[in-house]
Amino acid sequence: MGRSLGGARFPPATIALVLALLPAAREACAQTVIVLTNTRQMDFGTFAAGSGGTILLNAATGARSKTGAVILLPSPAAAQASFDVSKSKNGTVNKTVSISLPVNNTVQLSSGVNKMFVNNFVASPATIPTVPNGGTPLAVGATLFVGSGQPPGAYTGTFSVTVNYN
Amino acid sequence: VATTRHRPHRLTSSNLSAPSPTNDIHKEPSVKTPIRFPRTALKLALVSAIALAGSAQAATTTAQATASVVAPMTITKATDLLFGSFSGSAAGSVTVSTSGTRTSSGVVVFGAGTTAASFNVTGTGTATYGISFTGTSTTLTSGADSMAFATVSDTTAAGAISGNATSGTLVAGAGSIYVGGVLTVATAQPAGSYSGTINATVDYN
Repeated sequence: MGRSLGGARFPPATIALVLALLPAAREACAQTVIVLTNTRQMDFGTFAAGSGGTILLNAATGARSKTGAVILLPSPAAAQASFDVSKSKNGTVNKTVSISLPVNNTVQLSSGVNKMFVNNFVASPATIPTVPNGGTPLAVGATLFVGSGQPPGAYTGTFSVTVNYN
Repeated sequence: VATTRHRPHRLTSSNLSAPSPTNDIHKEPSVKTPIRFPRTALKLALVSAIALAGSAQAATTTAQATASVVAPMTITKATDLLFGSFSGSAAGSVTVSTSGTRTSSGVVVFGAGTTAASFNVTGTGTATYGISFTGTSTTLTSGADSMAFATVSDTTAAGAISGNATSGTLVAGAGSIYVGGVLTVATAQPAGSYSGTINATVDYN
């Protein structure tokens, strides 16, 4: 607790290490880094579950479609998710951009104890050759899996998207 | 002339090693914690520094996803369709409107208590829904005797005597369907108590 024997020795060692590695980190920070901003959430809208099915949000158009017995109800706010891919400063970066989306069976929407999986994430565009000054939009669609007799409720969840220079 | 630069040995193993615990081992148990701590801190610092340098260009963000599941629709019968009593030897018809008003031609109706059938519907908000009468009897029967039957319906009990509702709109999650009918009476229709079934089905559309 109050003893300083170990504590007195710990800072110098740590500082030494950080100082030793700082040049690499500083160099990375000075580069143009890619920036990803979420501009619109993903909304599957309102529907009745019936005996279940799927709801697809088209990544490119945001159009909602369904399979199975799900009944889609009017949902003006239903849309695919949108992001803005930009960079920390203007200038040419001759690197393509990788887009990482959630893998299947890792994202769920929940309402209390009730859950639905969101799978088959799709990015539009599928590839980003270069990030222009001022940024470029990235849309993400997915498919919601609705169970038979899925209990009514407002379901929410989160998912992560990662972009990086190749 | 070659020169040799000597780097300060900040990261040698001698620096990393903790002071010998033999000095303190008999004093109090808590001494062990500060002695081991530098190694852990060192590892953490190393890992985070490498992570910082190796993936400084990646950007990750989290987005929300939502969906709204509404309750399925329900429909329950509130009242039956009753044509009441009538008689006559000539052919004719008896009509009960969606508001329960009875009219006739060719036959003599009597008694009271005619009603249109009504169904109560529930669902979500102001959703629209489709209405189907599939499976409804096309005749009312009494043993082997029958009369042709057709429904008339609306969602407002407006007194319709023809046509059928095919859709409705919920108000605050509720609605109603009213069903009257037209009964075709044959010449010398045998006396009896005739009955049939109305099937009403609804779902969001």
